[in-house]
Amino acid sequence: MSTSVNVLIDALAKVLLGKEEQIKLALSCLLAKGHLLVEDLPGMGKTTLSHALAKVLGLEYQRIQFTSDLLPADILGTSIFNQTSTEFEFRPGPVFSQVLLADEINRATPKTQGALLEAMEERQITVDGHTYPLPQPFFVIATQNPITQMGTYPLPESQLDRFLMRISLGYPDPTVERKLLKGFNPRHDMDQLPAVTNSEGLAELQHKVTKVFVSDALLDYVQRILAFTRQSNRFNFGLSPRAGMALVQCSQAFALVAGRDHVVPEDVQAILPAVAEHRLAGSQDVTGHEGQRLVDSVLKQGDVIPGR
Amino acid sequence: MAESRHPPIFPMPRTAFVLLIVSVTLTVVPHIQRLPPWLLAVFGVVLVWRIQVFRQRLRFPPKWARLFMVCGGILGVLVYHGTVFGPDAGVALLITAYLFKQLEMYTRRDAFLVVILSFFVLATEFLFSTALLTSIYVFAVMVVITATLIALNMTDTSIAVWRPLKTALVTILQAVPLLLVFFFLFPRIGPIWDLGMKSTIARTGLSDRMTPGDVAKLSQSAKLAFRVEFEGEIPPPRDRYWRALIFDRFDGQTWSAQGDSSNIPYNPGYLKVAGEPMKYRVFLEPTGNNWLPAISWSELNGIKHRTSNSLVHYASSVVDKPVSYQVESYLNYQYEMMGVPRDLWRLYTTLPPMGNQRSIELGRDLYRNSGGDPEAMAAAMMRMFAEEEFVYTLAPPKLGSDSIDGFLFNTQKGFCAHYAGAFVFMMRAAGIPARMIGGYQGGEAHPIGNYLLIHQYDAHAWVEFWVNGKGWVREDPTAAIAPHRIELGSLRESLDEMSLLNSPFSGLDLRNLPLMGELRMMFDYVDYLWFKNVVSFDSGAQTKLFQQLLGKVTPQGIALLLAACGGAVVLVLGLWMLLTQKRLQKLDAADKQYLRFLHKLEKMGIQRELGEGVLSFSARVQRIYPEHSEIILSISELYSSIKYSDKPENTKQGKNLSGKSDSIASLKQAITKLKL
Repeated sequence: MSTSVNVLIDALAKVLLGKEEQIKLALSCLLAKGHLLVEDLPGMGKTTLSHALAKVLGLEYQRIQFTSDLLPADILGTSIFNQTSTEFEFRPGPVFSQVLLADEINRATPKTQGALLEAMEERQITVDGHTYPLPQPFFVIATQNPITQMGTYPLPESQLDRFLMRISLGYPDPTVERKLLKGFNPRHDMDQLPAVTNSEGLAELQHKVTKVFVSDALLDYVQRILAFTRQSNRFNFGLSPRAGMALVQCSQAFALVAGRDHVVPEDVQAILPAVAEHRLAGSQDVTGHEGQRLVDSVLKQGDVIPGR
Repeated sequence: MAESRHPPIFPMPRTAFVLLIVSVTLTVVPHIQRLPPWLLAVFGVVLVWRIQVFRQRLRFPPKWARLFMVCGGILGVLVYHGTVFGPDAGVALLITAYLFKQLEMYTRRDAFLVVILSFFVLATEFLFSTALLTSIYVFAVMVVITATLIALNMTDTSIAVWRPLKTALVTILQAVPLLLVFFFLFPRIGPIWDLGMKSTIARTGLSDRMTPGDVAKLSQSAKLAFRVEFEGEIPPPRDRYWRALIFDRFDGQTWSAQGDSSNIPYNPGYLKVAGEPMKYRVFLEPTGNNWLPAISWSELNGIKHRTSNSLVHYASSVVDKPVSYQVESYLNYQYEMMGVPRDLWRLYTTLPPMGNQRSIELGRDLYRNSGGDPEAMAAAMMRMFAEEEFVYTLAPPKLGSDSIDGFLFNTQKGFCAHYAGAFVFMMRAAGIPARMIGGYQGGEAHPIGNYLLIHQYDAHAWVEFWVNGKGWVREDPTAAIAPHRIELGSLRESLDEMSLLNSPFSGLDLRNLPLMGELRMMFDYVDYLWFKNVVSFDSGAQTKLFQQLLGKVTPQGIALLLAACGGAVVLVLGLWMLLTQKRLQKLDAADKQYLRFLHKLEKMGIQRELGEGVLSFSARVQRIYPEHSEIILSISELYSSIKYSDKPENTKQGKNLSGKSDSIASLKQAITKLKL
């Protein structure tokens, strides 16, 4: 089992050099059946990560480049009049795939964003009064540019909440950068990337995640963290129960990725920034990016050992 | 009309306004019986006006109207009380201003002022009463006023009324321990100013003038006069003659204490006492007079007083609030056996210049017939009262100008004052010094507490006459005509047939209902405890407490004691709040062991960061102590697996152990083994 996870990580590490931490997080997110939001500046490898993930997991995937004139029908699909059968036929859109790569999601208008985010939550879509279930598994890996950039429509809190994790990749370290400058092309290696598993294998892994043991002591720790975000006046509002559940699920997935059968506080600490940052806002937060500092303070304030 | 100009009106939250109106009403209500009637009308008008202003149906009064109201208010108080000074007039004036301020409450600051003023007006209630019920009421209103203050400070406009009330109650309850410390330990400084508390309210009670008829009025009152707590057995009713004052002058109609005898101090040399004293403590309700009732002969302790030649005790100031004092009474005593001072002799034998001729003659006849022996004459008079058609009644017929003659020869109906008056009159007619004593007789033993209740209806009059060689001898003429009045110790029997006592709410009537009577007694007991323990705690009692606590009473000692107790209270409260808010979590065995491990590392200067995970900390420590790397890792993994895994294992031996306790044991072992 863990070998399978390790193989996945190894394969991904081949295309995404020096980003093992982010790979583990992204993998944990998918193993916990959550949608992933990758946020970074252009050219940092967001698209590479999403493509590689879909390929390695052996899932069928579609990619949509979000633009400001993208319409909901472009994602969901439309009904077209068939002249031979004289009936309307539904042409499914790119959303009907196991992995949907939504590139630069914050470039689209809120209406289009809304259509996708609804599909994410319900895992089904409704067009012209007909409801069509989406394939299983269904993941959205969305990328976005920091909202301070020109021509973007920032996602509201409620929609950010649909993403289990938000991660960013960051600049590569010097050795990796040197390798890139020497002519290493991840896109090229991507084509040779093998499908390590398939949807059945993934489902099995996802089931294993739910079996990872969570002790009372660990839940105490998670609850201390939640309580801190709710009591401290540095936050606009505390973490919701849904965020608390997300914390536990992601910790379980991360523990599995790390090869353990039980969750330890380090797992919580590892996934907390990715899970909590986009759900937290400071009491005087303007940019929506204060979450990081707040999560740091959470990690400092909520101790692992009780009674201190 | 001039437009009224005032600062922009502060939009008061509805809850705060409701609470404010309730506060004002509750604050003023207990004063109502003392206020001029017109002020009640003002009270109503102001409240309605203020509510209408809040509902935006009316405007605030313009400036000229306010000026008119203030002048009218001062004038009204002046006319009603004749002054604006003194407690009654002062409080009336204060309440007038307090009410008018409602119509001038524009800003938040004004509202705060009204709240603070409410506390002040509420506190003035203690000028008039310190009874238990009053204190409970004041406490309750204090909660409401505090709630108003809280509501005024709440930004949320739509809160329920009970929320600030609850906060206020909790706040005040938290202050109670501090209140107790200050009550017992804060030095009681006498008043710097004299409020002139001699109240203008007519109090029901004995007065220093007695026109037969007065006692009847008194007897209808079920008000408490005083309570007595005996150290030993309560003596029988016939020994319980509570001497309060002397009626030494008679003008033909009215007996009065004109002061001649009371101004002369008693002479200890003329006093002879025998036997063991009876010890007790008197808790006297306010009387508006000076006299302190006690059973003669008595020595008083614990109150400033003087004793007159007539053996009456006078407090050095008017008893306008409840007082208590310790008494030692010698039932067996003699005073002035050898003679009465000449001035007093004249006073005690003086009759009005004219009138009551038949009584004078009767007195002289009786004296002659008894051979010039005052005691034989007294016995003759008692016989006369007992054998002739004399009737004891609290509703005697009216007497004409010769009241003694009218009573003795015509009506023959009367109560203690009539009999005592006739007795003294005839004695004096015979030239024997005699005087009427006013006070209380008997009293009712409380069924629960070991104490005696003496009510106003226990008021009584009896006589003393002087016998050469024996001094003053007590005689109670009422005993001859209504012996049960003396033996039962209260008026109960005699009153049952009295038709004039049918006021539905008088305590006397309620006594007939057993349940109400019991309730009344229960309440009296609580009230008595309150009086005994709280109201009577004066500077004297406080000094005694200081002596017990400090030994030697010095200002530094008192300050230290106050600071220590106050500090202790604050500390305990603070700790309590800390503990309830952040309950100290219980550590389990593994945590304790791990803390031991951390402690060992701390001694070496390695501190675990707050929030640092066990495994990451282990990695850090392993880098510092590579030589102990293995054991540190095993400690951390053991602890981590105990805490977070469902099957803790002993990593070192690599085999599963049966239970958690084994893992904890090996954790303990490993930590003990670790020597840095």
